[in-house]
Amino acid sequence: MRTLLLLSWKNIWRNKGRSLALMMAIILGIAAGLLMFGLVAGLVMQRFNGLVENHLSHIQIHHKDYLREQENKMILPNPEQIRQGLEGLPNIKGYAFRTLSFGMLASGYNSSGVKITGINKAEEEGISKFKDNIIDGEYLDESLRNPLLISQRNARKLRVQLGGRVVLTFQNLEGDLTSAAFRVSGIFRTSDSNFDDLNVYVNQADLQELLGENEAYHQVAILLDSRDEAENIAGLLSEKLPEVDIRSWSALSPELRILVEQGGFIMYIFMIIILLGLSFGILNTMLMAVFERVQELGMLMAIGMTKVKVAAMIVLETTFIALIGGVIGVILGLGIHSLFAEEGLDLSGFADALAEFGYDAIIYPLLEAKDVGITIIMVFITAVLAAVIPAIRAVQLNPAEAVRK
Amino acid sequence: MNWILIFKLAWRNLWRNKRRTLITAGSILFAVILALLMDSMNLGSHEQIISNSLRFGTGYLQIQDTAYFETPSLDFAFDLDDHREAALNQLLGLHAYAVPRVESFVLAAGESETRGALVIGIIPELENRMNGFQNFLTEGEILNDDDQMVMIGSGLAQRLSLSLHDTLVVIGQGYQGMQAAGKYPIKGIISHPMEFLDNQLIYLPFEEASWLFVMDGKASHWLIMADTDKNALRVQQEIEKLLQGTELQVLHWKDLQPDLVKALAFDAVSGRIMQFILYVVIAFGIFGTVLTMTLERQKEFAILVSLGMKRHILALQCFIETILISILGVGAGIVLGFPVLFYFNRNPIPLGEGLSDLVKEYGMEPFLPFSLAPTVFIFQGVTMLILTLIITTYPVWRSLTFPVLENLRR
Amino acid sequence: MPIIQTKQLFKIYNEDTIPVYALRDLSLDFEEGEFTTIVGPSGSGKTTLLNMIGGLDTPTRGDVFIDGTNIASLRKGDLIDFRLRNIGFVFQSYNLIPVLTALENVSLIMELQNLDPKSTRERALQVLEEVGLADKLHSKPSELSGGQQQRVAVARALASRPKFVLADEPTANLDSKAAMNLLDIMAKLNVEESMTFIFSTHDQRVIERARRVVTLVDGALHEDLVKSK
Repeated sequence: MRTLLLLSWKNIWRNKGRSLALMMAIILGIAAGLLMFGLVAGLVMQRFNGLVENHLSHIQIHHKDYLREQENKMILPNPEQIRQGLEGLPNIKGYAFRTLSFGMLASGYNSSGVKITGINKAEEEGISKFKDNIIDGEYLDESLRNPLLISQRNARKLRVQLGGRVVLTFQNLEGDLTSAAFRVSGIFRTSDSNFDDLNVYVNQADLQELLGENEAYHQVAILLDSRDEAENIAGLLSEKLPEVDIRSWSALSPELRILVEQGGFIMYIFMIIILLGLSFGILNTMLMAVFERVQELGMLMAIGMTKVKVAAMIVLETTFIALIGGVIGVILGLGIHSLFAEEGLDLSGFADALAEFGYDAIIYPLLEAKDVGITIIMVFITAVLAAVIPAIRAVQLNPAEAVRK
Repeated sequence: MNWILIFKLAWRNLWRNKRRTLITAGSILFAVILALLMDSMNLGSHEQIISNSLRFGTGYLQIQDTAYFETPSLDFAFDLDDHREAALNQLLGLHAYAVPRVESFVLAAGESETRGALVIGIIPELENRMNGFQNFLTEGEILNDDDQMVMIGSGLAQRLSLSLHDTLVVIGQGYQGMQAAGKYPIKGIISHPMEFLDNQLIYLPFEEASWLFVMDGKASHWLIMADTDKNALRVQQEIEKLLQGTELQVLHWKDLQPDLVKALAFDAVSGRIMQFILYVVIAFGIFGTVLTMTLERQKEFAILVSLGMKRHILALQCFIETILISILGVGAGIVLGFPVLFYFNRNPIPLGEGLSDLVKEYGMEPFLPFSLAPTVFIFQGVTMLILTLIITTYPVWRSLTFPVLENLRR
Repeated sequence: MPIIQTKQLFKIYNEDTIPVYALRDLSLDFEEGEFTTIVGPSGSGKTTLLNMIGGLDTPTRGDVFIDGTNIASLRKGDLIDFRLRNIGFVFQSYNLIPVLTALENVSLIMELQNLDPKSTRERALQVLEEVGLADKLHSKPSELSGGQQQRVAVARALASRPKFVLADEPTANLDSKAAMNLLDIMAKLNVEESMTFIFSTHDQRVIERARRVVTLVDGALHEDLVKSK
């Protein structure tokens, strides 16, 4: 009813200071909430992409027992069959066969336990952005004999530089220990310190030769068009290739799965907490507004405004304040968000700290329309709920007494 | 100036509108309790990470060759000469102690499999004192100082398909690149809580390890354990003096793991920011209440001032009223929050399945830890106090400047 | 038939302990077109009687009939609606919504009755003109004098074409000139539109203008004086 809306709207501005204070609270709370939302979502997405694009991919295929035992001799039984199985599958962007070995990396000064990945550069191109992490040198320079990519951290630990010599020692397929010298072709640095410590890269052919088998592959990494397809396609592949172990990224890295699942969850909780905090203020403000208008409310009920309409008026007032604050808060939040969306939030000062957790130094916040929509709905619900008590108090008034106060 | 009167007035004024005061204080209570819970959990997990890092990793301090930090090679192993060692022991006294170590990567082999592993040369008694590793023994017995046997992690045992009493072969690089090779029967199997250690751990008695790597009794580094960080810092200064004239230095664990320190700081800061946002939101709500409380009494104030009450007394009263609401809220929050935190500190919540595995990988126990550190409580009080002080500027300013005559006529 | 009839009306508080009789066995009839005041000292029950007639309060015993309807028989929701359509109220103060203009205040009552916007506006303009405030349509109460505010209240009470208007101390906060002004208007409406006015008041000026004076003492009828023309 038009007058009811008009009345509710005007009533908000009767006590400008108080209404503005409340709106300010809502604006700040919502804006801050959205910003944190965006940052956390951005962090999560970044970590995800980092892992997936650098080495995990969406699906991996291994020998049945490989992931449990991790023995060098557990190579994929029928690589050709796997290749055929992969042909013609929908949504596959690319795949790469990899050869792996666990062993020791040693220089004159030091040694370290590592996982050696023998890669096929052409195939890797299609699925991984790993080579963007190379900060010095070349991506497995063909002119070197047995070129090797080593992390910056390991290079320091072992005191080697580009062109330096290191020895890799590991078990070949026969079970014998074999050693070979490698030359440092390039130095890489990812945003994940743990990854850096544990990994070195060599040419697949070189590693296969040392292992003693030209068709020795331990892993197939598959990149899809979208991460959501991973489970389905993994299932399809399992049917086609029953003797090997096929897993999607969520099965391979429960850590990642939890990160993706719970990251958003935690932010919703934060938003709900802010809204709960705001509801105290809303409740108080509206109760004060009701009690200051006892005579007027009594009068309205006396002349014939039903209790329902009186209650509705209170709820409308509350909702107006909350929605104004909420919408401005959203605009403010989106505004600040868009400032950072392009350039990202530069946390270089914390770069090393973030790398410890596996994050890049520049965070690009991420907000989807649905997040904004859900936020506004939550604000609305909070307002309505907070209005219940004041509305009830308003209609409990006895008109005859109220007017006479 | 009668302080008691002012306090009495302020207190009574608060209760004129009981419902309003309670809701306002309630909002502070809400924020404080949430902030306490969050802060406590954060700090608790930090404390746990640090504790693990100290007990299983770096110790409070380390004595190393100055080059060792950059390049942790056995080539920089050292020996403390007798008088320095004696001085060190005297310095440490009863509560701190020094643990010499030999640490290096090797290839470990079982019957048919070979794996990269970490040999740690330990003095069993001291090691146990540091981290109670003997509690993790699942099979066999603890090493003695003079044994020529090993204890290995259960993960490693499984990977190499070895059991108790089987023989472990190790090959590695020793001092100045000399080959280090040895065969040792397995005296005990340890189930280490930190999974990544469990998969590669080989404990060897210090003497034997030093011999294995051709180090002639030298240690790659010494860990210094103290009972508190404060003691450790104090001791560090003394040790520095002691080490003058050598190629050695003593480093604090924060120097040894700067990334960890920064990571924890980042985590703490982001947690604090979230709490601060909540507090600011609540503060605006409080402001609304204070605004109303001030404006509705303008006539009353006008009467008081015209009767002769000095404005600054009035301002003081308003100031105290606002502060009291805050104190009420914060106080109640801490009083209610403390037992909750205390309970969970003693009875940590076990983590759900997924998180549990995740956390174990990082070497933490699968429980939600709660800290009782005073800073957790102090932060709430201080933050709220500062915000309240900002809020009080309004009623104070108003009391000092409002026009008397106008408000008398209402 | 009288538009208002009270039959053996009692209002008793604390009936079980120490009973207080706000109204005692009141039987009164009011006809259409009356300009009547109910008078009596404080505590005589005049406000209570007004509340009974206005349906704002329920009797302990006895009945109130308005235009033949026993209002006690109405359900709560229906009673509110009945009040809305049949009774006009003018209170001593707090009659108007401070945030609405005079026009909006008057329109309010018709909108509550779900009248269409066109009729509402027409009627609102009409009654505001009748009370002499055609030039103050868009003024808020704070921009009007006490007398003007009460006139808007009267306009509002009339706007819904009630059966009668109840006025509880309408002149109490007004100076002489404003009070006379207000009374003139009410008297004019009473004559021209046959609108029934029932006042509860101390104000001599009102009592003088009234054609019937009902005096209550201690909740009971003391005197019922109909003045000859």
